[in-house]
Amino acid sequence: MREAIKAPIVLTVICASVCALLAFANDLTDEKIDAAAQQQLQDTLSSTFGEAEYTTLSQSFDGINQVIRDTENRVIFDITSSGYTKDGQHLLIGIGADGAVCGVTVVSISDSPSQAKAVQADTFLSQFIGLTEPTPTYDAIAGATKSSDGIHAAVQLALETYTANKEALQNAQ
Amino acid sequence: MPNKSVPLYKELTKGILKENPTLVGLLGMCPTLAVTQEASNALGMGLATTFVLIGSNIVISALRNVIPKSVKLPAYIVIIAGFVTLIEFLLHGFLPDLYSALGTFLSLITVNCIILGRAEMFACKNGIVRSALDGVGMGLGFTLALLLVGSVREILGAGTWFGIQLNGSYSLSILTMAPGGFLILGCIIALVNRITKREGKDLNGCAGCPAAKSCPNAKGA
Repeated sequence: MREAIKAPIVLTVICASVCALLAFANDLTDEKIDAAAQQQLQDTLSSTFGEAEYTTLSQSFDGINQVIRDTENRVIFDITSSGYTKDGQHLLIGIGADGAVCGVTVVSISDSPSQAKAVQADTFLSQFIGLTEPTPTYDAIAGATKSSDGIHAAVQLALETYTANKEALQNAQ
Repeated sequence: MPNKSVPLYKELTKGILKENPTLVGLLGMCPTLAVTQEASNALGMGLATTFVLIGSNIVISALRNVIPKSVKLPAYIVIIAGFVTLIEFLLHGFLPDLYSALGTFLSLITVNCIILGRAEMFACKNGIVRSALDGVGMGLGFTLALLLVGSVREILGAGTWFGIQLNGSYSLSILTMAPGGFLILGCIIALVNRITKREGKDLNGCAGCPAAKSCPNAKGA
């Protein structure tokens, strides 16, 4: 009987202590993580779409973290998608003023290193450049099919959102 | 039972070669094969695992007389998962590139059988100092094994080392893929067996039977 009571109490205390430690660690690293994520986003924006002035638009859409527009009137969708890890892909999909995809880039990806490397290759991402409307078919990478699907789904979502809200996005402040 | 007659330095050094968890114990094969395409990823994974191994060994050793047998396993998993989440926070905040490079394998350190194995086989039976030294030694052994496999795969497979292009190198891209990982790991294990003079167990006759020691009819066991 004593053992029956002691075991759950000990386990509860261990769980509570670990939670407290992690809450403290989260508090300590939260700002650093946000700052690192913001820096990573800025670096990816600059390396993919060039040095420009980027404005975050006030509009919000389902499944899209934020919408950014640059001085060349390109609209960049910040999207979280799922590959092998749920919500493990952070992507930027750029659509030019002509309505065609002008850039697809991975900010961060939580799939395995080999899958992440495979889907970040230009040979894979370049197939989406120039698309003006969602297409159900595309060339996935063998061994990284779900990672490929995640990126394809994000491109589809960006194109659908852009097509449905083109004027609002072009004129938004 | 704890063996206090073993010198402390041996607790530290045994994991590096003689009882290397990867090359001798053949544990932790999943991260060994998955993250060793590049030496930098291998080093990062090794160091992250070492941190978790040391931390969990110390805590489990300190609580070994408190944790009832019936909840031993869930308690160990909670402690190990706590350290893994902690290293995830730290890497995400301070080394975001390494965090991205290790991907999902960072979270999977929780189920790395080296860590649970050392908790179950060593930390729960020994004092804090010995457990910490065991964690350092096993962690170093794991890190060195990963670094070795990663370096060979990256140098021969991609012609680079830690991302630095090596002049005049010839690359065999199969070595950066899964079959190459198995090949290189097998060769390194064979080399370590040669160095440590370990020989395969004779599986014929009574000597190969696990019950030979207690069997009255066993011959030559």
